[in-house]
Amino acid sequence: MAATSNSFLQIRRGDQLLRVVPLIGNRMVAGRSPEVELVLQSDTVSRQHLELVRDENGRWWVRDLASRNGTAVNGQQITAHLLTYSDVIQIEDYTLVFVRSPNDDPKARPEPRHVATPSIQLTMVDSPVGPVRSLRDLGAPKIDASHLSRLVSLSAELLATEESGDRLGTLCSLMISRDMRGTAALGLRVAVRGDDEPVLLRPPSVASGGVPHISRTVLRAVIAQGTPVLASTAASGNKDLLKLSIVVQAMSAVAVPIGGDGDHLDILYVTFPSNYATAEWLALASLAGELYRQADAAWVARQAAQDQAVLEEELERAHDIQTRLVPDDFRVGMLDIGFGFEACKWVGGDYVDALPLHDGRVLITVMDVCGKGLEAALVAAGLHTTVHVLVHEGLGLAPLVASLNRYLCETLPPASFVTMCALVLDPETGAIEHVNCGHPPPLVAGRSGTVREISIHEHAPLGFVDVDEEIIVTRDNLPMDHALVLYTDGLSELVDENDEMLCVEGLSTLIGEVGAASRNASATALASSLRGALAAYQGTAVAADDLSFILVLRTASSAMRTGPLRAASALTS
Amino acid sequence: MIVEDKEYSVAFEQTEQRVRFEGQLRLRSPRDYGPILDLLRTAHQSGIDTLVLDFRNLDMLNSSGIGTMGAFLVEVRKAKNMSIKVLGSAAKRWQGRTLSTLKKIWPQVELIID
Repeated sequence: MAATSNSFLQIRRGDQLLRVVPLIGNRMVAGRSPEVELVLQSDTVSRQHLELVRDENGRWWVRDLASRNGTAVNGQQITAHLLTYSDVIQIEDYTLVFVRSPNDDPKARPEPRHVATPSIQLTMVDSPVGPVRSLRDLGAPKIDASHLSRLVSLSAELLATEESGDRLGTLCSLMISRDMRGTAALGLRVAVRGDDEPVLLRPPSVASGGVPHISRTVLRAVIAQGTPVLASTAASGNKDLLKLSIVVQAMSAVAVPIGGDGDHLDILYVTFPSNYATAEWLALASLAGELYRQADAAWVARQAAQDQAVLEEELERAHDIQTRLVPDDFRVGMLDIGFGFEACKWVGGDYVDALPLHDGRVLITVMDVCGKGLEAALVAAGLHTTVHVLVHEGLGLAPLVASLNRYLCETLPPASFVTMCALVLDPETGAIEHVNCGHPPPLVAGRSGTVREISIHEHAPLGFVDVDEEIIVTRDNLPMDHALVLYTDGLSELVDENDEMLCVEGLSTLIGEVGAASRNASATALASSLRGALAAYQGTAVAADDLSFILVLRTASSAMRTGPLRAASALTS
Repeated sequence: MIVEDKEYSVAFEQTEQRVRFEGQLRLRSPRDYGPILDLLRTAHQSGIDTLVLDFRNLDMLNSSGIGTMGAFLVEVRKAKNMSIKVLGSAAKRWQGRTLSTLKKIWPQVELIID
């Protein structure tokens, strides 16, 4: 049968078992290179010798990666082969055995002891048992070193077994092994409150005597105490108990909590011969149960780490995509344009853009989507597309803003909005046409260090008011050798290590200092200096908001246009 | 009725027809402002004709908070059954610009910053 999951490779060299490796993910490469997942140190092994690939049906394949000495499966050279359990992959003197469980040994696999079918019905009994005792009630257990050794092995097996059902099977199998002497072992899920019948977590493992009756008294005790308990139907020679033992089978029973949630408790229920009602067997079962819980927690943590890794990879991609939406620094006519864009999380809700227009002017836009993270980033990405489409439709500045507002009123979730500063700048004259919707006014900085806000008419932020109010365009001018800085409030609300906010005044000062100290510098250099000044102010404090700005320098040196041609549009005056 | 946490307190004082904001409001998203929006809606539905939003002792209101206030103003504006007065402090420089945003959303809001 082809394996679908829970597959392992036993890696042997000669007669020596080197290690057992769980097959995780969808692809693992074996070879000599230290970069691969399964390193096989031998000069006769190629750097990337073979790959193990899980197909969409969960089946594992082995494929030779054009290795120098080839790959054999069960003695036959292969290029690709669908693996079945017990297949032996040969790479020179290495042997990789494909097994379902880390303990599988195809050469000496013991016959499984009886395993009941999943449809088995449990028999619950309410009959009294002897005293239900916990470890506190019993003397100090004397545990044999071989038992401890077996428990150490159990821990390793559980940590190598991904599927929780298989881990429970491993635990139950151990409890009925020759080492542990249980007559039966099963996993139960019981309701902490109410009278719901216990649910079998997997078919019972039974060594002798069939599936045992389950004592409700023992289950109630383990629920009440939350710790392992032991009871025996033949503990004291009591005639009544002995009589009952005929009904419920003469036995000792151990119940060990092994997991659960607030409403349910998962229990390892093990029956022993009646004379095993001692501290030793309770302690062994308790330790085994604790190892199971620890392994379970380790697998949960591992799964969480894997999920987190996948999420972070996706966020990293999202970060890349969002960063690509920010134009590279560029020059157009007398304008030299630099960008600053830094999301406080993987992605952010800031949007910065500059679009050269057909008439030689440039549309410069900064927006800030309310909120942070992925939700805000998705809105920002939608804004990027919408702005570019509207510009290409040839809308003027005011109709463009009105269209954006309608779009956002229709699409934004409640209590969300977007602040926006959009302006069209003429490189030759420095003339500015500006629309502001709840956004901090841009700053104009001279090389002498003077800084002022440009004149604005402030509209409500976009996405709030779905009415076509008149969009008022204000006009200003960017003199030669002055810098225009558009920014989001992440800059003005940046806090330092003492939780002191920079504020607009502090930001103005920083911009003035940067401008004065960097005469003849390019917009890229000025933007870099501003980023450095902000970082110096922030120190070790953590940014709570995205930091984005556009710095437009109007210089006398007329430069050849190097800006992105793709952005050309027909925005009307 | 009061909504409060370590950093902030928002209280509706019905007899004063006032919602008082104190501390720093910098919750992560508009969703996190849900209890505060509920409090504002309770104030709206209490039958008073004018509601005072008193921000004078509020040291910070982030963009999600402004969004929540804006959404509330849009609701009140549509209901046309209550007027809003906003009190701010000139000593808190951020309030001038931030609170004027509320007036942009609903020009009939009475904004007093002193």
